[in-house]
Amino acid sequence: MIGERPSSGADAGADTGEARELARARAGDVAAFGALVRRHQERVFRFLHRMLDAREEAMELSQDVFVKAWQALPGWRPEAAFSTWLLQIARNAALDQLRRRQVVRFAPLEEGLEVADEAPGPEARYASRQRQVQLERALRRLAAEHREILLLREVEGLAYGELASVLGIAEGTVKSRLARARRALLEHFDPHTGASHE
Amino acid sequence: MNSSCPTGSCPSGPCPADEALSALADAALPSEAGTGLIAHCAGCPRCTRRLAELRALRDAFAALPAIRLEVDLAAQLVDRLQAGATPAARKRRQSPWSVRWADRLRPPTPWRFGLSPFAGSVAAVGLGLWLGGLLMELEAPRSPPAANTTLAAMSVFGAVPPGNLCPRAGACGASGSTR
Repeated sequence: MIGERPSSGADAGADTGEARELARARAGDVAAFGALVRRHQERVFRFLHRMLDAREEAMELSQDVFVKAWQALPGWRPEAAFSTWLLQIARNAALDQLRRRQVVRFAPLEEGLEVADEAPGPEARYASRQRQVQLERALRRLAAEHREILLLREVEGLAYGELASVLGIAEGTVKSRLARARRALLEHFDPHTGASHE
Repeated sequence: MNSSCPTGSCPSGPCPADEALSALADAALPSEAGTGLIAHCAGCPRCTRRLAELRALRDAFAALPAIRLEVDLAAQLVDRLQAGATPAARKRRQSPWSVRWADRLRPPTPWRFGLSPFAGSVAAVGLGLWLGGLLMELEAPRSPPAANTTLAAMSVFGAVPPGNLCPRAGACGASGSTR
């Protein structure tokens, strides 16, 4: 099955280290929890940043996610991977934040041009950057439900089982929702040319 | 059926649903199903195009610029958490209702009993009764006798002012002829 990432020796070592930190953090060791935060902060922040499309907001929310995790840590069970559990908290926090906003922000038309002007270069580089901008713009146009599953799958590389766990849905639903999300994205974005379909 | 294949079939047979192609792009199909689908795509230009789009989508995501935090959240959080949470406090807050009730039903130690609300109520009632008793004892000697209930000062308002002669016997009471 997809996404069952092969575990290397380094991963195993990291997992052992994380397990130790988790045990100490659960016993109330704040420093051990700090080490866990260091391991996962980039991932949580990246996901929140892409979900909310706001750096400062994502940074504040990342802190809140880790505070919530600290408070809920005694209730965490080792059956769930810690990183998956964190993403679950982050996902809920992001959805709450989006609900609070109650607005869908669209990218201004000039945004892509501004970025392109900042990094003038060869044609290929320009096209590549243009494609990134269009993809980010197309992502913003998606429903939160579609955006989150695409980010978790394509950017964070979660397996179908992990997606089911984070999103609280069955694996079969993961498959169909992922297909719908991709279809929706392809309506706004041509991955070959980077053109956006307005 | 695949939305990109409106007729529902291609030269190589009925087209699969988008869901199957999406799973194929993720290599998430069982090997037999995957092989069948790849064989279909080889003879179906529409499905080949769709699969290529899905794979290109993955490449586009991979090419997204990295987002860096550039701040150590852990350092900020450790200070914040150390100020606000001790393990004991967390344990108490997180303990389930059954544990909390068992804790309440356990026989109290003298120290715990001394601090309990019940002991406080008993002490308050006892103190009130004792203070009340003290007040009663202090008030008792001050109580005037029944015969002295008429205050002397009030006599100025009587029909015969103090020092005057009584107009007739009995008008100034039984005691005498003047007030």
